[in-house]
Amino acid sequence: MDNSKPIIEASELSVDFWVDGEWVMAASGVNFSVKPGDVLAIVGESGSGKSTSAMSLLGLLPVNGRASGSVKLQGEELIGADKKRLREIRGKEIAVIFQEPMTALNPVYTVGFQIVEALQVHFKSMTKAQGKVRALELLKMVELPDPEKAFNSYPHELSGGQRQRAMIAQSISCDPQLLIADEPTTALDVTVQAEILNLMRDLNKRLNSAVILITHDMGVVAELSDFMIVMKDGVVVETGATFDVFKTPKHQYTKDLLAAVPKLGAAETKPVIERKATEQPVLRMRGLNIEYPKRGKVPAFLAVKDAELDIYPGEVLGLVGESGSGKTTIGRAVVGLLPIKSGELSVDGQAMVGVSRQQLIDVRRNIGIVFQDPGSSLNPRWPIGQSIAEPLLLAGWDSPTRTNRVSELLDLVELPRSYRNRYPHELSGGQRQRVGIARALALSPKLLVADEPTSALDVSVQARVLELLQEIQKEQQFATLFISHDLAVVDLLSDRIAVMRLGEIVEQGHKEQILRNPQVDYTKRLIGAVPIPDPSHSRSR
Amino acid sequence: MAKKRPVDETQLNREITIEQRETEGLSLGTIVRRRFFRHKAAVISMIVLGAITLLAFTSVGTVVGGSGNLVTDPNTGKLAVDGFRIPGWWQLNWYENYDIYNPGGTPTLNVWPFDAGQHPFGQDTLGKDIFARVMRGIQQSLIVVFIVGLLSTVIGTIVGSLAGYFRGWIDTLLMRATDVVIILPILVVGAVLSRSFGGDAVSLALLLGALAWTGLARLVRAEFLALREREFVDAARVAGAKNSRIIFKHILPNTIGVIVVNATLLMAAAILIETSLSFLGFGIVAPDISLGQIISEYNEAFRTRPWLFWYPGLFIVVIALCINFIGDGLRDAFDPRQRRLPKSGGAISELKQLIAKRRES
Repeated sequence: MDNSKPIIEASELSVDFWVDGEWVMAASGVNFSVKPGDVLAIVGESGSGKSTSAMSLLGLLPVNGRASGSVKLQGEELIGADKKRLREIRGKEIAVIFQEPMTALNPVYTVGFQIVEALQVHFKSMTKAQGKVRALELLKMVELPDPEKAFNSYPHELSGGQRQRAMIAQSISCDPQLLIADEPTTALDVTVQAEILNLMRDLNKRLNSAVILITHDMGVVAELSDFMIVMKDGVVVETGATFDVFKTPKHQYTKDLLAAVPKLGAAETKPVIERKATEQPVLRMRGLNIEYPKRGKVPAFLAVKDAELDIYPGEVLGLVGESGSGKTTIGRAVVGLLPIKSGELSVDGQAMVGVSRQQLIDVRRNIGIVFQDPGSSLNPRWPIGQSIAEPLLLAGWDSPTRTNRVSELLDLVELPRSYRNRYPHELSGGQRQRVGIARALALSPKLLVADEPTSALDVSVQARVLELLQEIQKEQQFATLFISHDLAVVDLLSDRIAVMRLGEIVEQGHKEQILRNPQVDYTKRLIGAVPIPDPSHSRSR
Repeated sequence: MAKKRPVDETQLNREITIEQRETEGLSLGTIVRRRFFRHKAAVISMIVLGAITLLAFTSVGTVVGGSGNLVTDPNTGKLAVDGFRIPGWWQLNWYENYDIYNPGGTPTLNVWPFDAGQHPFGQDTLGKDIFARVMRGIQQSLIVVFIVGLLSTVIGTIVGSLAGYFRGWIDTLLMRATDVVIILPILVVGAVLSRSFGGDAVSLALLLGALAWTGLARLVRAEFLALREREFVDAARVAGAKNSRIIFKHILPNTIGVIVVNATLLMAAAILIETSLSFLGFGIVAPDISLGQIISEYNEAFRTRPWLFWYPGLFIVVIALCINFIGDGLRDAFDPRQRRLPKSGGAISELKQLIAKRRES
């Protein structure tokens, strides 16, 4: 296949945006070519220009963007091609798989309708019946268990993984020569991600198309791609075969990026600490049930069943599970944001079942919470200094001590003191999350609940935030409930791990015990599905 | 706790994205203000509206307090308005009859070279000065607009935020009450009630304000429903904030865009409702004056003395247009997705390129 012509060739591709009266470079001098059957991965942090370069291939830039340079699709120039021709190419020659299948599929049409529509747009002579035959074929190809049923389903009736399969079926419906996959598995659970990656590898071989994979996940890159380019600040810093780049990265940035990827089992082992019988846990759960009450026709739903957990002072407990397993529910119940149906939950000796309003306010002084989405966890109308100081203000601190404490906290999370007057929209995601951590630690809590604090961040930023969190935790010795779907991250931070599935804690124990010697099937599957950022390993699969 | 070294900020500034570069170092309020001042139509409208307001209030002066009824001054035997009269620079009053200056009372206004003359907007059959009447009418119409805007914004925001924040039975109760007000036809109710509550500007404004808040209440409620699920609200709750603090300090400032934009558009609607009611003879009635009332009073003289319509009509249109443009500008300013393009782009140059390309091939 090596002597075949490349499907797409980009040379000196540049993208600029018109911002505040001048052109600002988003990507510059990008060169690549992809041959049939090959997968090219474009890796970089958010804002590095990887998505914009890929979208410029399709002419799908925001209105204030412009692309220059040359992109040739089998010899045909795409930059500056007229809009009609580009519309013909989109979907037929080049198709896209988006990150979030729920928003990429239209919720008011069935999956089948949308695939048939895509077919009929490009093959004008195709009838509905022919379209349906082809659509069923495609749905079967993407290994949906019941193609006929999926054809007649609306997107909300399918699970996340099934939706992504349907999305893939739609994109390959016109046999595109080039498939652009924009973070195709970021929104999915690990086990589902593994399946989708398998499917994509399989389809790529069978259809012999070219694939451009845009991702920040080194594990995915290693699993799927043949070649990769690494982008930073709009510039390509390294290109090469995936195998070589992983083995001998040349550029410092690539090395940093690879080092930042948390690897399962690479964290230092922590000694098992013997607890004295007299020591009281900060958080104690016994037979805890949490229920989402009945709303309209939706019946009541028991989100957490019979949970039992203890967290001792200075200990980090990692709570792992897939989406919908109830881990966030536990986190929210611990801080008193959700009512408890039955069972026993106590924080710092205060029983949270039947707690009075005043008692709740008092016990919350001892709990801090870091939220998942740094974009929504800070009040957009407040400067961050005010956000950090709010718990202090409500605890009755006076103004000068508040100001001192805010400076201290900003130093602690390694943000400049002058940032106190900045607004959240001026900060990057990682900086916002540090502000979130500073706010959670404002009152020096005894228990910190961290609900997926790094899942919205880039790998290198995540590494920095995790490191910071670990440092502060070691120094201040508060108990931590660390909720995450990412086993590698949990491995890095926690002393003990609890695995949740469908509202139940299926296994818990010391970190070594869970990761090296899992007892329950589900835990084994979870560990097996984690993509490993090492191409030689995935080749051997 | 161990102290850490303060961090230098130059290096961290590189982390922000291209989109953020435009708004670096600005609060949300400043960003909105900057965007608003870029909207030319809105800025011009604001200047025009300000000029009209200034003109209306300084020219004929105004009356503060009192019943607003016409009384005969016992000392001079002349007509006067009950209440404290603040005089303006225009010598004529809106309620007095003057001698007919031009035959038929035609306007004396000359645009070039500019000369206002004795009665710039003309006179009616009794010799009343139309300029003075229109100015007084603008005053009353503007008073109605601002009171309606203020009152309905306050009611709408309170109802909407309580319903959206607390949900449950409070929401049901408040929203059903809103539904009841929505189904009332505003013109009919306004007509019936304004008759019983006296026909002056303030009471009409209060009445309209008490009916016009429904749309805003629904929008604010929707906004609250979305915002109360945001994590910063949870964060505040965990920090120990009370409901009132969360509503006023956290959520309400974030709904300001929706509120301001819709209050403005509501005010534009208010001036039209007021003029229609007054035109029908139900809103502001003589001896009080509004723009609609002037048109209504002279509606039989349309053929013979058209200037009795031109001027009040012109001002109704200009004021409504200005308020709408300002609302438009505000909406654009609060819309974060707004992007600006280089000047060279745009539909016309794109068309030119297309034609050039066709010619080549």
